[in-house]
Amino acid sequence: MFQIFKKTLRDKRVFIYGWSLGLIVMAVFMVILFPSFSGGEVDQLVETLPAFFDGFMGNLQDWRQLPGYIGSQLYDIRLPMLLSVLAIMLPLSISVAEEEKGQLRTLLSLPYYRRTVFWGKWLAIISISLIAALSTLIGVWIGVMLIDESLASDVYARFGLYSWLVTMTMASVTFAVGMATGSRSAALGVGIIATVGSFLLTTFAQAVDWLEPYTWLSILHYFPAADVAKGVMNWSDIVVLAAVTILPIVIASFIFGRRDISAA
Amino acid sequence: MSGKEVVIDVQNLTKRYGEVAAVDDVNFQVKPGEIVGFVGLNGAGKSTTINLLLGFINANSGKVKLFDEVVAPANAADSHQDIGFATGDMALFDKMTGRQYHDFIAKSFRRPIDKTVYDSLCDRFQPELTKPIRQLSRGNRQKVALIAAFMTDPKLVILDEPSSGLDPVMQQAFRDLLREHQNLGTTVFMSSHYLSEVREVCSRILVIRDGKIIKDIEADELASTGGKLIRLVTESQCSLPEGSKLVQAEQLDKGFVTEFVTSLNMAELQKWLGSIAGLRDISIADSTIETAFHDLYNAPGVDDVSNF
Repeated sequence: MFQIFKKTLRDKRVFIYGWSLGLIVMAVFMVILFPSFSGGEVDQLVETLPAFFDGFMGNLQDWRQLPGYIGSQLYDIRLPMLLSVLAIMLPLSISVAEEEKGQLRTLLSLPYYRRTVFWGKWLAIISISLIAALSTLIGVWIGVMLIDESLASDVYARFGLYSWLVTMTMASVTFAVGMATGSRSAALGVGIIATVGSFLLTTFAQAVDWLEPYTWLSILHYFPAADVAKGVMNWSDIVVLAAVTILPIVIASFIFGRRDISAA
Repeated sequence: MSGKEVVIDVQNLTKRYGEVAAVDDVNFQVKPGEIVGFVGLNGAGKSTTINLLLGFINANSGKVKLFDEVVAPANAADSHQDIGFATGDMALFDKMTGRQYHDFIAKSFRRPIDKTVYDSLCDRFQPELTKPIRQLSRGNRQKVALIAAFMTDPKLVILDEPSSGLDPVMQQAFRDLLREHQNLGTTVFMSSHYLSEVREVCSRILVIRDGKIIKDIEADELASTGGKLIRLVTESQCSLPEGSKLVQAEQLDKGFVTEFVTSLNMAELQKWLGSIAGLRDISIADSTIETAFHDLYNAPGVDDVSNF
C-alpha cells in the first residue's frame, strides 16, 4: 500500500504544490484585510445590506474579533468554495481519470491487490487534504504575524481539524463513487452535489426559510466555522463527518474489489 | 492433465456484454514453456480473453486458472507475482521516466530483481530511460513496457499486440528475446496481428473468431495446411480445381488474374494446368500463414477444433 501511496503523492506533486501555495496566499490575503474590515466604515456599509446576504457575508458581530473574522470570512465562506473544487478535482484524477487512461489496468497487472490500490490511493487523499488544511493554517499564521496580532493555538487546532475533516469527507465521497463505478459522470455528479450542493444549501438556508430543515444534509453544516472560532467543539459534528467519510469508502472498497475495470 | 502441468487453464469461459458474447464458452490450456500465439481479427475476443486471464474483468461463467489457482479480480495479485504483462499501447505512468517506472515495477514484486537480467534487456532494446514517459515516442514507450514485462524474470508472460510499436530491428530483437525465454522455460501467451511473427516464435496458435476458439494448432501445421498458392494469368476466366480456395480474381489489361490455394499434389497440378487454354503466366508458392489464416477465418463451417 505504501508504494501506491507514494506513487499517488508523486503523481500529484504539482497539484499539491499549486494548491498549497494558493491556499497560503489566499489565507494571508484574507487575514491581512482584518484591520480594514474591523473598522466602523465597513460596518455601516454592511448594515445596509439585507439579511439575505448574511449567508455570503457572515455575521457582522463575528468581524470584530480576529478569530471570528477568520472563521466567518475565511473558513465559513471562501475556503469551502475552494476546497469544493479541490475535493472534486483530486479524487476524479486519482480514480476515474487513471482508469480512463488505462493506467489502473497497468497498476493492477502488477502484484497489487485491488484493496491495496484502493486504500493506498485513499491514504493519499487523506494526506493531500491534510496538506491543504495545514497550508491554510500556515497562511493564517503568516497573516496574523504580518498584522501584529495573535491567535490562540487551540483556535489553530480546531480550524485545522475541521477543515481537514470537511475536505477529506467531500473528497472521499467523490473518490468512493469514482472507484466504485469507474464512471466520470457519476463521480462528478455526486461530487458536485456533495460539495457545491453543500455550500449552496448552507449559504442560502440562512435566508430561505424552507431550506432550513434540510441543512443537516449539507456536509458544511457539520463545520460551523463561526462557532468553532468561538471555541465551540461539537464532537457529534466530528462523528458525522467521520461516518460520512468512512461509510462510502468501505462500500466502495468492497465494490471496487469485484467490479470490471474498463479498458482505455 | 493435472494442474501442475498447466500454466493457463481456461474452462468454459464466457463473457457477455449485453446480448453479445465477447468470449463464448472458451476452453484451452497452456503448458509450461509453450509460446502460444492468440490470433483473430479486431473484436474477435482476444483482449477480452486476456482481461479475463489477468482478472481485470469478471467472467459470466466458467473459470480461469493460472498456476492451478482460480483467478478472480479480488485475488488476481496472487498470480501476478509470476506474470509479466505488456500491450502494444500500454498506458504507462507517464509522469515517471522509464528508469523510475522500472524502479516502481521492481519494488512492486516481492522477489528482488536480477540486475544482470535488467541490464541485458536494456542493452537489447536501448530504450530512452531518462526522459518522462509522456515525452517518448510510441516505440520507446513500447520498449519500456517490454523491459518491464520481462525484467522480473516471470514464469508466464502475457502480451497483447506486443511488437506493434516497434521498428523492424526492435521487432527482431523482441523475437530473439522470446526464443531465449522459450529455452529458459518461460511460458508466453501473446496476441498478435503479425502472423509472420506468430509463426516465427510461437509453437502453437489459437485462432479466435466471434468469441470462440475455432482452431488450436501447431504453428507450422497451420501454414502447411494451406497447400500451394497459385497465381495464374490467363486469356479468359478459368474455373478452379475441385477443393481449391479462391483468394483473388480480377481482370487486368494483361488478362484474367486468378489467385487460389490448392491442396493438389504436383502431378495433379501439372495435369490440371495442361487443361487450361490461353495460359500466359504462372507463379507457385507455399501458402503463407496469412493465406491459411484468411481461409480459416472465412470458412463458414469452422466453429471448433475438429472442423479444420
